[in-house]
Amino acid sequence: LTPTLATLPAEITVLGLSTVLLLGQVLAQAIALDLAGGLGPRYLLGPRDDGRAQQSVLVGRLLRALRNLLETYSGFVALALALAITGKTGGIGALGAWIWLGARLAYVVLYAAGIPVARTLAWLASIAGLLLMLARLMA
Amino acid sequence: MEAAVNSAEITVLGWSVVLLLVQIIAQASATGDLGPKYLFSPRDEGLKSKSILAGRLERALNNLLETYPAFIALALALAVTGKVGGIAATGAWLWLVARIVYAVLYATGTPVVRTIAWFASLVGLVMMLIRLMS
Repeated sequence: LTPTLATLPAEITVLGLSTVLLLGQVLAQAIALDLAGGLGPRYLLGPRDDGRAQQSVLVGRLLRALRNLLETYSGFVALALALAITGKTGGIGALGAWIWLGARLAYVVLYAAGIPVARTLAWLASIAGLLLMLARLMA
Repeated sequence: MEAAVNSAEITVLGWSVVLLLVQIIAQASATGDLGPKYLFSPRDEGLKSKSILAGRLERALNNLLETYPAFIALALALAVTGKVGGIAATGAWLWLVARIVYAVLYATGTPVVRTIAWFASLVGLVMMLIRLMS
């Protein structure tokens, strides 16, 4: 049994894309810290024992957005894999997975741009996506 | 399911839990300067260990936790979809070795090479991702 892309369930496709989002946020945060954090390459490449605070507003936003993603990312991973393993792919579970991904993408862009209110709405939408997946799993 | 259970991805996933637990226990063991009274308490004062090693192990652990869920997601997604082996298996092993090297280099305070090890771990994840999405 070797499934092709056409047979990959939406939940697994979104799971794969979610790792792109996570790695993108990790890299964006790291690159912004390197370029704008004001810490210097010597400190950054070393063991960072002094615990210096970085100076950039953007880096702070990207860090908080990454921390926020990591708070619920394990919930998304758990639900996507549980739906795939139990054969409960598709329906509102697949819809929820896509909503979650779109909302998380919007969230990090809005956070980086410093846009209030809409960012919190995007966060709520990502939670709604998880609840859709959960409803499908437990139904 | 037998093939998936015996795949390299699942073997590496098992070893990754060992790595995680070792990093947690090593970090916790290095904070002894805070004293058992504080450590067993609810730690309301938010004291930080003055040990340089404890700080390094904590940062290495936090760094592992940033991308560990992506590794879990990819390893299990590969197993579930039957796409184990190939560059994904190579990527999984690369990720594990790079993460071990990273933790050791962080603990010893070795500069530059630690960042290269971190990059290698990301390359491992991307190799797994390519196999999953292709």
